[in-house]
Amino acid sequence: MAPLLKFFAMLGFIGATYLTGNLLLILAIIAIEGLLAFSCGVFRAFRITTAALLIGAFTLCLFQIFLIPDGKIVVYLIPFTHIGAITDVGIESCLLLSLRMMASVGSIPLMLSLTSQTQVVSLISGNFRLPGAYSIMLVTSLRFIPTFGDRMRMVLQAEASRGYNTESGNPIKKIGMILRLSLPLLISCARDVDTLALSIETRGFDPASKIHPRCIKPVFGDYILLLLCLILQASVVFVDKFIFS
Amino acid sequence: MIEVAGISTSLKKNRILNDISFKVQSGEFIALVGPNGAGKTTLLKHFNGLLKPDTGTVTVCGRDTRKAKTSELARLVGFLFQNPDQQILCQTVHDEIAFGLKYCGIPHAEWEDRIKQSASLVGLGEKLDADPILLTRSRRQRVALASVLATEPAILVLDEPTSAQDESETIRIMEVAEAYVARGNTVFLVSHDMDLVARYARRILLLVNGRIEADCSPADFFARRELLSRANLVEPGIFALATALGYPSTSIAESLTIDALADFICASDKKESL
Amino acid sequence: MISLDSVRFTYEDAETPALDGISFTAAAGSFVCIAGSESSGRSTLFRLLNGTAPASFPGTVSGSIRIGDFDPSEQGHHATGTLVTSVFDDPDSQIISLTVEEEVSFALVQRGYPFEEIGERVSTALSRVGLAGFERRSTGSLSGGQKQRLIMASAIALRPKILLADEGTSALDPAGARLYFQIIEEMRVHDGTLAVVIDRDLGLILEHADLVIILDHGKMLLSGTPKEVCQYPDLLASAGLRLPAWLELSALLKRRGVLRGPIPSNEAEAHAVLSALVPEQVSA
Repeated sequence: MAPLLKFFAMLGFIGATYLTGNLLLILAIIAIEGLLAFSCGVFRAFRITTAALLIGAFTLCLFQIFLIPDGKIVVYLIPFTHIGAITDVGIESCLLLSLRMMASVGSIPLMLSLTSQTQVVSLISGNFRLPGAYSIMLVTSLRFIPTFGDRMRMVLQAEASRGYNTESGNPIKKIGMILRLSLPLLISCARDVDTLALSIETRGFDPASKIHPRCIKPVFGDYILLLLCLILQASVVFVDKFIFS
Repeated sequence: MIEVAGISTSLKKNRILNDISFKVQSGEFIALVGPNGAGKTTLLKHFNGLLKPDTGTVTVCGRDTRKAKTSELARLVGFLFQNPDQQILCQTVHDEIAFGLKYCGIPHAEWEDRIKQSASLVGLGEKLDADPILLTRSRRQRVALASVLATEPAILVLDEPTSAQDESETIRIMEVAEAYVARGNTVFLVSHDMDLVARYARRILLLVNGRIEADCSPADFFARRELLSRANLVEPGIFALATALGYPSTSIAESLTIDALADFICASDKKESL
Repeated sequence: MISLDSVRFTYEDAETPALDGISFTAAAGSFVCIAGSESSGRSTLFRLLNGTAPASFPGTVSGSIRIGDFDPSEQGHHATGTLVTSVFDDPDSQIISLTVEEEVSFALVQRGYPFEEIGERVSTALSRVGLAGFERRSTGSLSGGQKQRLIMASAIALRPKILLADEGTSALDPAGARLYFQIIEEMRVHDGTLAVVIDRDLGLILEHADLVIILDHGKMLLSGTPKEVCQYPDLLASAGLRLPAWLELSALLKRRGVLRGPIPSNEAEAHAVLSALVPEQVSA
């Protein structure tokens, strides 16, 4: 599917998420995204990002929930006291916030995982006519960020081999250790990035260039797919507005 | 000193090592060779507990690696990784070497001497105040080596220590390793450079598809052509030359040198010259 | 096609030139190999030829560098990239893409080649390096040798007039190093590419090169065909290079007066020449 149309499909997901206030329907949107991920073979990545977003949303809610005074008080954070009131409206708002975040933000990595690099470059530099630097930044982070975990593991192994105790249970020590050991990680990345910049520039990448790579033109089938996507998203909103309200 | 008994290890559901057993005494210079992907680095990581075997045991200086932490085994096993950049932490070469001394519990009073000595062994005696990050790759590799040497572990594991080095530095590093063995320690070398392996190693372990296919002296090893081709290895140039010249194979020993071949050619009065 | 005349380069904060008095010419389709120790200036020469110096590595250039009519030191590496395809030494810091297919097509996409043509070039390039069928593989899952071949495939896809390669074999095993040189040889034959390869493996260099340049502390110590260069084995050794066993033995026999003719310039020739020197009763 042409990247521009994938982009519209993604906007459709985000739009649908915000056009409905019904928790079940937003869950349905997440389910649709999951099905899409599954049918395209990227379900594992989808599961990981959804889990990460869930943790992020939960963390946000931990703060948010105490700031909503409306509605009936359900429970107190510290029982038998009046500290940390949690209301039913508060719970519902936070659930809505979390699910909306998972559905809308989650559609972005989903679409990215279904979009090849060439398509990303075609979209950002070709369709949107933005300077090449933006597409390269996105592409480079997709390529390098997954390697950080492996690189960090190698650094930990190297330092453990020198006698540095990397298995300390103390959380403060652990944080201090990660910070300290991030240095070799960052330096090796900085070095790589320097060479990478030269390499891609000698291969034709010019951040200042006004010449844009050719856009990938959508074919008829792409439009059909987009239409199906939009119909699905619109029907969610339809169900919300006309059936649930 | 090291006893590997029937170990098998899998990584990410792939069986990397398969029923490996061997013993290593002190004062040995062993080369671990084999094609890429054979499991060499995986095997090495068992010596300091970075990896624990699924079955079997690895005992280092009497300690079972399954029960010991890597940071504790570091006093016994010094590990030089292929990529020095995954190790370098400190802002000067001096501090980088001191880091290893600190965490291996070497008494502070000994630090300065050890740092100066190990730095000059690797040709960095004048660079103690330099920032390792700004050094060339070959020097960074030697900084990492100096850091490992300074703690004088009983077992030194060198994973491709000369890959970034020019010839003179390569020879220097190998001589340092030889001297290390002469002091009663053990060196485990992984290298693709068969010339170096033939010249310095006294024992060769061939790892192919996670199994030890050969455990013998370099002379025996390089005489076995079918082993070499199976492991996709090339015999050292000097051995190929000796064969081409008809040098008696019974005389091919660790001491095969260019001078010996020249003497062989000059052996008789009847010299053919072009 | 490439011509350098008395080229001198001094980095911005340096006192002594990194390169001094470098002159050579190379015609289209030839194979030039440059060797020397770490401080010999070989990396500087690489940077001058692909235009990254002085653009990204500031310094002063004097003398003349010409690639055709083009001066890379003035034009910079982006413009030079249309003529010269560069292969740097570490594959990991050149791979920008997530999949093999995308990596090989990167330069083609950046240069605006039609998408239909890109597909064909990518699959041809991958078969030539023995990575056919690897299109969808993630670049992170490749071994070191495979990554190096991927970089070569990216270069082949461009069908460059000039290929500039820096220390590509240092992380490879001997079989990988031989394959690397073979791939470059094929580019010469197939696409008429002029190859300029910086390497330390003297055996492979002598086997493949038309022109060998030995650098030492920024100066040209030796320059010539393998046959010419092999007559100075002591100079080769003094430049910090390891002599292959056959060359070392030939040099020793030459010094002893046993070898009267020229020193052979490759392994096969050396085996033949040296075996002929072995007295019959000894080799029987």
